[in-house]
Amino acid sequence: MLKLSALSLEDFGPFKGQQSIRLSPKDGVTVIYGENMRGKTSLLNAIRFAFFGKVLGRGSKVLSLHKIGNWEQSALGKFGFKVELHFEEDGHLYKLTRSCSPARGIAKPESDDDYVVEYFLEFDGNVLGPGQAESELKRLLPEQIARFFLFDGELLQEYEGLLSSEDDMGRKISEAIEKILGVPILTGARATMLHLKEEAEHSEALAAQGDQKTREYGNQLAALQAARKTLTADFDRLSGVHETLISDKALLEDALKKRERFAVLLEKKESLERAIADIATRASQREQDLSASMSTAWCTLLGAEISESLSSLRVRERELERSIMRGELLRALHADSSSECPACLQTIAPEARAKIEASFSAHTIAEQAAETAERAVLLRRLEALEQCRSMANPDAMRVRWDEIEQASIDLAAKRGELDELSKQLETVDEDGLRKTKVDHETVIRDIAAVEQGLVRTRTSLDENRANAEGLQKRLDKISGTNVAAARARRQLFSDLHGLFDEAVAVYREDLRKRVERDATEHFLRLTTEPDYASLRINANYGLTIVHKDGADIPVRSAGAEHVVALSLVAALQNNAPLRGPIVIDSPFGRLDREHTTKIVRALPGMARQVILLVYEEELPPLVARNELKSQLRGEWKLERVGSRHTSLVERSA
Amino acid sequence: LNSVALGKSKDQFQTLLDTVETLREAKYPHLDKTLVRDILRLHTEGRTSDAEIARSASQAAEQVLRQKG
Repeated sequence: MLKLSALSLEDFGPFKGQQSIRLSPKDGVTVIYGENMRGKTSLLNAIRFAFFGKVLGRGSKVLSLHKIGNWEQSALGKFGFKVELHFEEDGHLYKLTRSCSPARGIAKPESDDDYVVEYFLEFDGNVLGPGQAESELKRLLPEQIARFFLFDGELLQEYEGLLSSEDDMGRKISEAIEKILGVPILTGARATMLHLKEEAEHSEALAAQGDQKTREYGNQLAALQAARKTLTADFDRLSGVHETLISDKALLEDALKKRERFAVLLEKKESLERAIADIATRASQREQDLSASMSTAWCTLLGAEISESLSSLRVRERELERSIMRGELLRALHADSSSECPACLQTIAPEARAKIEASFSAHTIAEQAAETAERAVLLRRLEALEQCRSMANPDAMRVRWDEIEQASIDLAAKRGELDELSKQLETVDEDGLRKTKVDHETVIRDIAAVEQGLVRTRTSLDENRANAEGLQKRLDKISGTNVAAARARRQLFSDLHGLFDEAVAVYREDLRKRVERDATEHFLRLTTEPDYASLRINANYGLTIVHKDGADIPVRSAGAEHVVALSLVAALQNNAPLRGPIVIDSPFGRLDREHTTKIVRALPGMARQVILLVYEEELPPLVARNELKSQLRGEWKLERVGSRHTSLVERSA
Repeated sequence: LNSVALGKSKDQFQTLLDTVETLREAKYPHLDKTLVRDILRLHTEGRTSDAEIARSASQAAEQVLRQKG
């Protein structure tokens, strides 16, 4: 169990000059009080820097080391910083020193490139060589699992991702959980056995090729092994690409999330630009329609005159029509000399006949022709006037005009919105943001394509293995003594691979049960809700709260998320072969006093050494003393000397 | 609560070995117990490269095969 015993800082963040903090070798909790901006997060980062050489900011973003040195010292021309961490593990004493100093010849560093980071690890008073120091540090506290030892509220919130199998952060945490619980040891053994099994298979194929009786099978096996090698290389390459793409996706999503507001504004802006273009096209179309209508607009002005002319012309046309018809009838009667009327078949009296003849001679053929011609002209004029009247449609013109006006109003409103959005986006690199969105869409497509490739390659590999197994079975039946030794070797590694493969599954399942049981035990001690009965674990180690009636609690608050995450961390500490101190920065900010009290009381059970970085309102010293009692191993305070200068002061109860 | 955290004294190797050994006994009793233990230990130490681990595991297996004749 790794236990910190002292931390010394030199010009790290607000800790000007040389300052140090001693930590009790006894099991328990050390509380370090500091108001906002006094350096609580810097202290957590100092430990992180000592172990991993990096400093994290919000969103786990790696911060520039150039900005970490004490500002007052930098103003005086003294750049760089140093952290010294004393700890012990299994009775051995370690001193880890990591410094960041200006590179040779750089008087005034301006970026991280101008610094040199060096570290030394002393083991029981002896300085270890670089390679030895590196592997020892990786063994003591691998960076991948640092989140279970050094964390804050933000990191606790990320555990929610474990509830979704699609969540990239959840996948990372899940991998880290398996790492801390020792699963990679078994998966590593399984991988080694697979490698040795494949080597043995290759040797067996070579041995079989050397025997006349088994040569054909040996050749086929060798061909299958060569194909498998290529497929495995493809699979590994695709897996590497997949991992890179997943990581790229997470980075792009992070970038989009940080600029989420601007991304929404940009999307709105693009949608507005499209709407403006549509309205402008529609308005232009309506203007063309209106322009066409305006060419006959004069007809509207002559509406009354046209109606009057139409009336008088229709009267005249009807007169002419009647006169022409009368003339035609007279002509017919004149031509028919019979004594019967062709219309009513009655006998025409001689007086009537005389009257017909008189009328016929009065209506000359020339008059008839003139009337027909006049009527034809009249009909053309009537038709033209009707057309004019139909074209003079003021209602249709009004509708078009209104549409154009509405479009103009809409355009003005949309352009106003667009101007407003453009102002809000003035400081934003729109092209960069667009590129991020496009890159995100591209990376999602690429991931899908690579995943398809992985499935195809995996299927081919499975087929290859099945074929090879079939061949090997046939070979086993006929092979002679020269192949027997190779076969025994292959069989041994095949069984060892099978054993470790099954062990991985069994160990994982067992771990899940143990983590679920222990997390539930911690959770029930931490929660203030009596109706919560347990936590249920999923395949990713995500934990769901279960109500006493058996139902899942589907949505939980940020505070509840912290309580569940702390229960998980505690359960991991219980079950992990790798154990160490827990250093927590401001963990109670989202919790009420009752939860805070319960957690403080439970802290000594979560890890043998706990270092709490809190502000006094979050955890009043009296509450800490009452709840921790003899488990409180030390109290320190971050005291303000200046806005850029904090002092570490030990506090007495 | 302290007993939950502190009472678990089994180290990483022993916990893993228990799982593997139970399986070996049940399903692979013909596999050499010491060889399995050695292979697991090689992976627990984590101070050598993958190639070195594979070489050491292979040597341990060869020894077992030689002993079996």
